Amino acid sequence: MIELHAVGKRYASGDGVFDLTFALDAGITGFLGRNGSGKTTTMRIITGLLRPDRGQVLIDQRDLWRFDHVFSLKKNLGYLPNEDYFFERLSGRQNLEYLSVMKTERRDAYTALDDLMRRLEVDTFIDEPFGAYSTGMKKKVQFIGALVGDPAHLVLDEPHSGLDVLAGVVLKEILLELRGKGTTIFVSGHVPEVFDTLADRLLIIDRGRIAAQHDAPFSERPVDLYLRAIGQPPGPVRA
Amino acid sequence: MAYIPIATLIGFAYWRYFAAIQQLPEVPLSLRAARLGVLAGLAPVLFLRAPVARGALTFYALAAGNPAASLQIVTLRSIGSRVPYALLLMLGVAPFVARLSTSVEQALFHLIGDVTYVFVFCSVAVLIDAIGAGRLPRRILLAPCVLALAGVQTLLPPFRQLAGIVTVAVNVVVFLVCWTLVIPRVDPTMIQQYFNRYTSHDRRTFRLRRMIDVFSVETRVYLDCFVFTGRSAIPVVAALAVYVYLVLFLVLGANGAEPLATVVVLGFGVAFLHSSVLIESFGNFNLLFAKLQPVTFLRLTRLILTPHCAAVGASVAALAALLALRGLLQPAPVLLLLSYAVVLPVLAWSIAMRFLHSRLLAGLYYAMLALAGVVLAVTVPAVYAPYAAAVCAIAYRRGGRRFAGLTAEDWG
Repeated sequence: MIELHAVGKRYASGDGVFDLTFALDAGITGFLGRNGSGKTTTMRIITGLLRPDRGQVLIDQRDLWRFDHVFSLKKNLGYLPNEDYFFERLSGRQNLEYLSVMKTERRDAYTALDDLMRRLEVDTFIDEPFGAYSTGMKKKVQFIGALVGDPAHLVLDEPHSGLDVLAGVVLKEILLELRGKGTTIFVSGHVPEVFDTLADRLLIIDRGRIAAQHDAPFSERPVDLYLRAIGQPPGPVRA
Repeated sequence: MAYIPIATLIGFAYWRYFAAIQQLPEVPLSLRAARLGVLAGLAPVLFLRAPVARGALTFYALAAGNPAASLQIVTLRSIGSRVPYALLLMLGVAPFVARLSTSVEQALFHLIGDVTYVFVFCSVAVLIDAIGAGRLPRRILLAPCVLALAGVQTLLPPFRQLAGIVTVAVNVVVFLVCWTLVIPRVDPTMIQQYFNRYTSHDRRTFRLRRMIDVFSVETRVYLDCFVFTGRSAIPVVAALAVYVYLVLFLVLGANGAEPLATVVVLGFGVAFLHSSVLIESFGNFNLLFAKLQPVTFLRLTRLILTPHCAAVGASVAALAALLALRGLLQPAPVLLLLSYAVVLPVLAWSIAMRFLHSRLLAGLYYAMLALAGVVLAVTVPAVYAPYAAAVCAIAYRRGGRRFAGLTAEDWG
């Protein structure tokens, strides 16, 4: 379980996230919000990439920022950032091998994900340089990277962006399989429909604050729940 | 304001370093070797891609401006990116130039001559890259012309005897010719092709890189991030040049110089230049990749520095073998050389981590501490070991603390 208690982070511009309090249980939590509403900041705080100004982040009831916890907690945490973080000049396979060495000290740890790589058709380009991949290809390989070491908690920042239709369907299948295994999955996105049949709960953030939380089955379509939460009534086109 | 005491300290240390070199009874590093190192370091730029950010080239590829003017701006940016490194190198060489020159004017012209090399080489590198438009044979045909010009300036007696006056004049003329005559006459289509080339991925480069696939992934990351980059070209090739000079020195004879002192000082030069890539290319290492993994600073250091220490250690072992062949093998210099293989990389690595936001400041700090170390090693060898151990321990601990506290904001 991942818990945030009154977490806040303010940037010099005045933007940021404020007083975030929520808990993520096993299952899939969809995270919706406008551009710049604080989704990525929240995810970076959860993964330990940003230190909050105030509040506490607990993963499995242990403080993420306690020095003696951070390494064991990160072993159990997979993160797909919105930006590319693999080495451009190495191939996808070499990146996954290096990541395996760092995360598990076993250089072949990523081979346990061979089946997922085949399903996402990553195996067809895995030996090409990462820098030559298209946006979707990069996303697929880095998604595989987030799964190395079989983490119990997954934080995925817009995993659907740039994916083709088939890859989007396969990604959804994989996430549902992981949910079946009891993994805690926190997924952000811009398109509410993605979460229609995927998410167990919806978390909506607006201007750095949690605007609404809904558990499945949802009373309305996610797009309507989202529009209401941010103060926008559904219009003729939106309905 | 915090920079004032640091700058004062650096200035004082540099003045002491300068004064120490002037008092050496014999200068083991010849001016020619130093200048050849500069040239050798800049030469790869001719064969590799021009050191200009891809973003800037994309901008000019899309901008509907005068292609020649765009190429001139790209050339200036290319030169600008090299100037700080060239100046650092010049600061290191300056005491030796002063020691070997008969007058202040001569020393100044030597240094100005070396700086003008940077302008000539970078502008010609961009030109060759643009004119070649990705065709390697054309670049290979053009590059020897420039290397010949540089070789003539370095090796032919009139250029050396007339100090830097002729060198400066020739370089300024070559630069002006490139700027006013050649660039405006380059085919605009070719310039556009050159810009476009940088907006797409070059797979041929990767085919070349496949040659290093025999190594472990840790070594490949090290080679890709710290050695095979435009930023690393100067120190790595300069280190190789000094190493070759050192090997030749040992093979062909000392020529009156004190062999062990020369080996110790030049060995330091090799390790220093080689280790400096850890600072210069630090930004190429993907910190986000490391910070997402449960990896401690110690383990990260081991992953990054093992290939580096192995490379320097192997070169030191070869030198030790040469010393043995010449009957000069003594434990003290060999141990000192081996310590360079570990101490300098650790120092460079931890200082780069400590000063993550300012590689230039990290470079100056590193140079100051390391050069103080070599002065100690040459003058009071017994003090070198505790000095190195103390400096590394402090810097490493601070680097480790910095790494533990790094957040996404630290790398944007």
